[in-house]
Amino acid sequence: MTDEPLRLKRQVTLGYRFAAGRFGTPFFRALREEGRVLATVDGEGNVLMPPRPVSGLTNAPTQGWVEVGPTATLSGYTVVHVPFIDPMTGERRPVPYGFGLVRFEGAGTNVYHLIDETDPGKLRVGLRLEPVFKPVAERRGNLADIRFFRVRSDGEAATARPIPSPEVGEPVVYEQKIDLPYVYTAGAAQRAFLRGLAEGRVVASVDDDDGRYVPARSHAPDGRPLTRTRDVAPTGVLEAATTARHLPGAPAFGLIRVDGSLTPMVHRLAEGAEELAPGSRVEAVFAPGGEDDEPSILSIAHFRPAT
Amino acid sequence: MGRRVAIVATGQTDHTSRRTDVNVAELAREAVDRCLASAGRSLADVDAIVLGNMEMFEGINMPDQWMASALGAVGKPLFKLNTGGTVGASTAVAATQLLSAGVFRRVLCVGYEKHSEGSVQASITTVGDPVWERAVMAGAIGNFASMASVYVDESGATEEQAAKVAVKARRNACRNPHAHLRMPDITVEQVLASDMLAHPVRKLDMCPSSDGACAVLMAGEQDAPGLAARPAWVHAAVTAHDQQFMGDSLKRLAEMRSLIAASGKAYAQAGIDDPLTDLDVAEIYEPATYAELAMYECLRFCETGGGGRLIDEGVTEMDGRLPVNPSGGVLSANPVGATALVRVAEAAMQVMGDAGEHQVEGVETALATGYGGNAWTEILILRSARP
Repeated sequence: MTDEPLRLKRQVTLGYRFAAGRFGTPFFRALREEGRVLATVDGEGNVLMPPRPVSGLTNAPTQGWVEVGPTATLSGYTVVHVPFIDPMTGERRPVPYGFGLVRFEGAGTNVYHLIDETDPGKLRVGLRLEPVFKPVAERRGNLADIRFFRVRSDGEAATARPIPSPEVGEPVVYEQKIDLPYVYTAGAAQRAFLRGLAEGRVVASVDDDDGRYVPARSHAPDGRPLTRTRDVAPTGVLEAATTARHLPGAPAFGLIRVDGSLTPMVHRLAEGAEELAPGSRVEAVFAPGGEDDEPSILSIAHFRPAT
Repeated sequence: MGRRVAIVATGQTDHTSRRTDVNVAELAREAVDRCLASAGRSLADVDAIVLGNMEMFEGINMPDQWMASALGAVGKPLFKLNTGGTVGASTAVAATQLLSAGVFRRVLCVGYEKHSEGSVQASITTVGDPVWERAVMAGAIGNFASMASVYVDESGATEEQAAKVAVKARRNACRNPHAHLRMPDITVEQVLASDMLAHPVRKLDMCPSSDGACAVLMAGEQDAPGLAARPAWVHAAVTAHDQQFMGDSLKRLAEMRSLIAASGKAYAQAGIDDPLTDLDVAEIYEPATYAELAMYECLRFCETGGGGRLIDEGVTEMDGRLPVNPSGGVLSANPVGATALVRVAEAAMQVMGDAGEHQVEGVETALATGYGGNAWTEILILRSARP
């Protein structure tokens, strides 16, 4: 039997809804609707942007709001040449691009942002910048409403201007998708198990006392390494069953103890099989090919009542 | 202070770019087996496990559940931590606190990462605040490069000085069988000719992405002397966090608040007045060459702005007054969840006299640091003498 490495490609895509919160909501509304940049001030006069409820410099609540910028200075910079996958889009971000720590004039803290300059020779700490906003209609209420910062040569430096605490208003919620590619390496026992399934066999790990474990695994529950495997019958006992009514198609899942195994496994059940009483005998229905034609736990399509 | 605590055994995998023969549980177990074997002990001798990893790199949440059998943790306390790149050292600080309080007698620290299974630069972006930071992040390299520009602006450090750090690391790594990058013939010119990743950081200025694991067995004073001929006693185990947002610390690299705060506290606890004189070796978490120079200053190995001078004078070379990263450091192997624990293990190996070909002569006192998250720091000071 081949024991070449087995690497399984899996895309993990997750959707989130992040609340901007009581400080972020008024900030992003002002940015989106008016191109204004708001910040909070702590008891020692530190101006903190992004605005926040507690100052990290005093570990005490902030005490009021100010408006800063929108002109800014460059606190640190780079020109990025290495392409990387943007988890927001799942795509490679085009390179090169200018990037840096930007401080809105009047603020004591910085934010990372894009800089419209890809020649590091033209960038230096202390350079004066101004934001270039997207058109109002394209703004989404996040820091990317500023497309980038560009070098500014003239004009007065802005200072922090006290403002009344803004109304929070309707909460801002960000929908965000994270899309990341993974390639999982199967261990030796997993390789034997998954390749066995692809050939219509169920492989168990076996310990020194002939105790069997399905699915095959590298270590027994007590931590002992399991180095031997053997084929076992694709039949077993249903220990428990449930129907996942919240999932599309309302699939049924069962906790199945393959005959002779010390450990049960979770797998899909054939339609109607969730009605089976605990203790019922079941058998595997193989579906060679499996998920994405890779060896997979889904090389067993499901378990059905034993014939 | 509570009970005295010591490191009694360490184990590491041979860190490399891609381990396709094992899954993460088996990778971690390899380090555990090496650690326990070096002390002639088994999993049965372990009372509790502290596990460190950054979940998004492998996309497995609750890896502690997935790895419990392989770690021999079934029926035992298993604590999973994630403090970013610091996490390996956080496991050692947490174990110190558990042992010091007398909760357990023997605690196993385990850190691992298997970078080959995920997308490092993309997934690290998810450590950014989703509302404020992610839309404009550039992975770890862009962030480090921006910070490096601040340090260069403050200190006047040159790209040649940074390149010397890369040369030192990769040459030291040649004597470390666990290192990922070993480059015996590396030169400053070669570093300066390597691809620009993000100005001013070049490819050879930056740490690699590695698959690897590390395990460290720690014990309280009643057990430590029976578990090792020469335990590495913990004289300080300190952790410090910085502010919330990445842009909060203006001089985040040039003036790392958490590193200054944590090392100051640790030096006071361990009675260290002049680190350059009082320390015999340091294993520091340097994710990039420029960071090592900046950290020399924050750790008070030299005056502010003196990082470049220190490397020019060879002070931190293997034969210098204070060897820094005899192992080759993070620049030579970086399985992130294990990396800071590797620093602790390497510092302990130096104290225990177990560092083999990269052993520094006569080490009595060693420093280990962890760095990660939003500029978090962990510091451990280990000595051959009991506290």
